Amino acid sequence: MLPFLRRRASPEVSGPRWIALDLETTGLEPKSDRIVEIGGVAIIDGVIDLADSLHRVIADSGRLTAENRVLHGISAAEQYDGSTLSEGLDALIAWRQSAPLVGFHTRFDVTFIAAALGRLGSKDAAQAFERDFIDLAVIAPAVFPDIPARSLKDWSRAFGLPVRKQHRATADALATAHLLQRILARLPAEERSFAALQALERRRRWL
Amino acid sequence: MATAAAVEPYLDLLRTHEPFSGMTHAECMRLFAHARVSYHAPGETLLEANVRARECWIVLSGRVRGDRSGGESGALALELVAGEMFPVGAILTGRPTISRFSAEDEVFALRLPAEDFVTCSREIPVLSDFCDKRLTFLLERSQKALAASYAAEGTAEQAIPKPLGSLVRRRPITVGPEATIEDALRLMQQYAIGSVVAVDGERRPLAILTERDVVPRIVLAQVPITRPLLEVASQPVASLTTEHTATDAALLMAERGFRHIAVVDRDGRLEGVVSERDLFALQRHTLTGLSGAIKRAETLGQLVVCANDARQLAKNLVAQGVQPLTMTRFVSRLNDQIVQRLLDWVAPRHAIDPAQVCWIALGSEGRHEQTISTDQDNALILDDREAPRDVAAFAREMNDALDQCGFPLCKGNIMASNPELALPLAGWREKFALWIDRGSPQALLSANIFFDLRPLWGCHALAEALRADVLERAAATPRFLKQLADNALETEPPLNWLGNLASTEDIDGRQVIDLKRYGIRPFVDAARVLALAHRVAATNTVERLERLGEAKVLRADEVRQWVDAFGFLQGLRLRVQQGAAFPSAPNAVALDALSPMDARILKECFRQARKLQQRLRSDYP
Repeated sequence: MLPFLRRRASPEVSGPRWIALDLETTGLEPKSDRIVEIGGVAIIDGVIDLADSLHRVIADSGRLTAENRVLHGISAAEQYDGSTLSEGLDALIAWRQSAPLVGFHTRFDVTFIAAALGRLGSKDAAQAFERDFIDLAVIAPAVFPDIPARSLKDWSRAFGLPVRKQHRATADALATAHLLQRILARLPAEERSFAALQALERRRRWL
Repeated sequence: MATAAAVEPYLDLLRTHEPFSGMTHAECMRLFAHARVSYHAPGETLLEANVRARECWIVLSGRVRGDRSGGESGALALELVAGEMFPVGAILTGRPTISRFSAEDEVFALRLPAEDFVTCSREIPVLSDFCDKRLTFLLERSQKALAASYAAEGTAEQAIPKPLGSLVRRRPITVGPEATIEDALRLMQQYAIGSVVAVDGERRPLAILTERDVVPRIVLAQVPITRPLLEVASQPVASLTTEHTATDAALLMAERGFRHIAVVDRDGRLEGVVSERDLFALQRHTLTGLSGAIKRAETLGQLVVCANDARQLAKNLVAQGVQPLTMTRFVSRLNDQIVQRLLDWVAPRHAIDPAQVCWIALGSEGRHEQTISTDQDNALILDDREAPRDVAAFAREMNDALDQCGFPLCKGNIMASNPELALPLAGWREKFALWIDRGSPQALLSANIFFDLRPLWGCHALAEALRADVLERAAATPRFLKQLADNALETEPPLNWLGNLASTEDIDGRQVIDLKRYGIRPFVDAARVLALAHRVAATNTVERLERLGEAKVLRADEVRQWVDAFGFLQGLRLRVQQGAAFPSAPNAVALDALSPMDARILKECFRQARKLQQRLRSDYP
């Protein structure tokens, strides 16, 4: 196996900066449920850069139910000090720039963000945000067929990823980024580009 | 800046490990403000040896293995697990890494810029303490590697003592145990080599024949070249393993007078031969060679060259990782030889009979603690039983010749050419008795220099008699010892009330500490008082402390700490002298020039000096 980190900037159009993203929401329905928290970290040449990260708790997502509070562990005070949804999304778009996006069940997060942007009247931004993403929930089982993991928590356990906290957006984004690191290290050098991962995901979905 | 949300998951993981367990959330956020996290597959290299470390690494999960450069040996490897950092020493000293770090299994590692770590190690108390402890550990465990890294002077290329394996340039030319002398000589001729090694069936060296052996052992001894090689070759062969360093080989050669050393692998099989010439291709001169050159020198001009070479050699030895205390002994030994060689010529010209005088070394030379820049302190003892005679012209010629050899004339006129310092034994006894009984400030200053006397040339018995006299009289005069102790306690180690380094003067607008006066002298002076009080005859500071330890006057652990601290101070002083930042003050080190690690160790050394002084204070309240 070639050491992935010796590789310099990858040659593909999207550049060496990728971002791992995760959202916490009040439920599963993009039309009616709200975004509670946005967390993301940049991965540059395969290395997670903590200084290049984004975290927003959304203040105007309505009152969290007790259930949500327990699940996400977001306190009322934290929410009170948070951003408005529009500020949060602006910050996210500015931070992402044109970087490709990595997530776990990424379609869910992307759809939530596009829906929120649409409601705020930013149709173009919504469309732009839906470009260039990959889903490790699909890719990871393709790369590690012997590991019977389904959820992000399963993968974290299976690989002993160094992030224990769950259901906080940034922690889950970090776990996703670590899963990506393990996947990249397993692949031959020529298959480590974003385009190659997109192709791998498409093939997997066809099966 | 990293967001708290991005750092916190890792803090959860590191919270149970030192030093993070003691740090506040805000402090952790500062430390990890620019952290990055990477994954490394088994076998992958995280950090090479002999490079400048740009990042401090913290293991998050998995195991990282550190190998000393050059060695594959398990003995030298260290293993780092979650919560451990590397390469802390290299970062704090700003010097190249000593080990290569690689992933033993699946490793996730957090990395932060070296500058952030250095800044935080100064400003975060918990981290600062942690680094102190780490450095004390480093000081104890790897004094040698540390000294070696001094050589690098910040350039990554020429770090670390070279492993012998890397000096072996070609496969050795060998013969079997049954070979004749002729076989060996033909091979030496054919390959133009200086030595042939006889090996057994397992390639283990049995004997070695070198060029130098040919004339005395074969030609002059008239041994027929049809005889077996083993009859004339040297056995057993001095050998070291590929993992030993050039320094080890240099010391073995110097100690035992070998010129060739067999380099063997772990199973004792021959890998190659390293000659003195190979070894000192790294440096211009050899210890044994230089020592021989001094003995053979026929003119003052030649000796002046030797003295210069000795100073150059001293620098190279420091660069090769020789411990400072060994170093000062080497320097003293070579300087002794230079003085002795000079006396061999100069004395006969003045009809001086070596049986009737003794040339003595005083001060640092008397203590075997000479560094590179050192002026002369010497005197003469004359035999009472002979008719008094004028030795002034002889002494003056000696002092001038030494001056030309690079030992400047003593500003205090503590030289044999001073008529008051070329006395018959009785005169010296009277003088010393007066100092001990009277204890005037001037007498105490003199006692500090003269009571470390050591015979260099001539009738050693004269000096021994005088020394025995001093020991007897001083130990029997508590008032004198108390005065000497008070005098030793006048110089306090330069730490402020917070325990931090305090400058002792300003030079060119920079705050400096005079290492000789405030670092070396407290140890030297305290050791002298205690040695005199307990009739310890040694003059060398380390020996004095060790003898006092053996006599149970001092505790063994204290002795070790004081010897370590003294060694570090001498080492730092050697480096400072070589750097020559302040021509007017060769022993001054600027506080802003100290690396964070040196500053910390220096602080610890001064604390040790303080401890030693406290001991003296309690003995002489």
